[in-house]
Amino acid sequence: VNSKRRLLVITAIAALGFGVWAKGTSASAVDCLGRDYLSQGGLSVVAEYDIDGAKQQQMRQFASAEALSGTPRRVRLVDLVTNDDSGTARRAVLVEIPLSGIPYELYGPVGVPPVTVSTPCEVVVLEPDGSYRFTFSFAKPVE
Amino acid sequence: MLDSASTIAYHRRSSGVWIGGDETRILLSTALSVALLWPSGASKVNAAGCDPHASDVIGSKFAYALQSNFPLIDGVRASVLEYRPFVPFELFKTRATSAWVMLSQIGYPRWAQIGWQEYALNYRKVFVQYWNGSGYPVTEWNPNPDWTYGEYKVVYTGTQFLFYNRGTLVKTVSAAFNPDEGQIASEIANELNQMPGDYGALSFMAFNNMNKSVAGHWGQYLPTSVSTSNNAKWYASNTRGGMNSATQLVTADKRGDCA
Repeated sequence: VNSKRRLLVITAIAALGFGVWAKGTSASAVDCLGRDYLSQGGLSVVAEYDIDGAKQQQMRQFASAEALSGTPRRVRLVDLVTNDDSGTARRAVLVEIPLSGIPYELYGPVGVPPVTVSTPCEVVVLEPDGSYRFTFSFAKPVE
Repeated sequence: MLDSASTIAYHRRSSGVWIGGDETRILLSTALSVALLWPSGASKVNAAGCDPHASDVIGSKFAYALQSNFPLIDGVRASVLEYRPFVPFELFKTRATSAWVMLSQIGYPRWAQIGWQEYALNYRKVFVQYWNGSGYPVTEWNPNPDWTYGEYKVVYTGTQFLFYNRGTLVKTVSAAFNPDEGQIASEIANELNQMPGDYGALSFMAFNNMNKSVAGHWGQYLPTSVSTSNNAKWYASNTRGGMNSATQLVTADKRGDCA
């Protein structure tokens, strides 16, 4: 009985550990161009337009020049409302750059312990001509 | 501020050309980058400032001026030098050096800050980071000109945080906490990085015109504490000759080439 109980405990701990690991590294499970992720930064897409493959590739190149790391993936041409311009929608190109999602320690104020967070991706926001506007990412605490 | 352990896939900042491809190609590209940079003088390529020649010790260290335990504080601002520190390239990880102003809540990981940050290979941005109730959104913009001064400011309205870069409102967000502390600091996220300021050369990182707002009225910052994470390694002072201790702060690194 004891050995079975021990095995059960070990299995439960392993499952829990795997769950934490999977949660921290499941960057692909987050839709980084979706409403939920963008809303964390006060960004809202109010319209979307087609963008051809060649243009998408060009925008990936522009975005990669502004990114710290990662390889650009999806591209969207949208009308974007930010919380910086009084609710006015502006045409923008969103380029998703997946990151590792590996949990890391985020430091904030002096005297406060760091928070373990995971950042699944960053979104490079470009003007329609490819010039840089800003980059958004969201570091979510890992429970 | 930022202590990102995100993998550096492949830096393209010098060429501006994206190559793309799978992870194998990325790793090969990174290795090629290292080969090109080493040993021909990575420090010359990567950095201004001075090399502290330190060990790889991850975790943020600060040189700071605090304004603690001030329940009515609702703004912090300072004219901040756009210093270019030494930030070495680290394979598969990257950790920033930064300088910023902040409103925070004592004892909790809740903050709203704006400033500049620099990673290796000249990746430099103005950044805003804050607690929004569920995590920490980060927004980055193109940097201000090197070695110039300009004001960063964060304001709490009771319901929102407002972030200003050189007088321009760059972000407005809903407030998820009530601040009771102001912080102004230089920060390194790895001891390999130079704390802004070169102590040996008496070339300091500087924060001027530091102010806090209390109940809507701006006045001198009057820090309650000025120090560093380790005074043997780093330097912070508001009392050097000629300084206004109520409104000025300098920081520096005391190690290696900075000694």
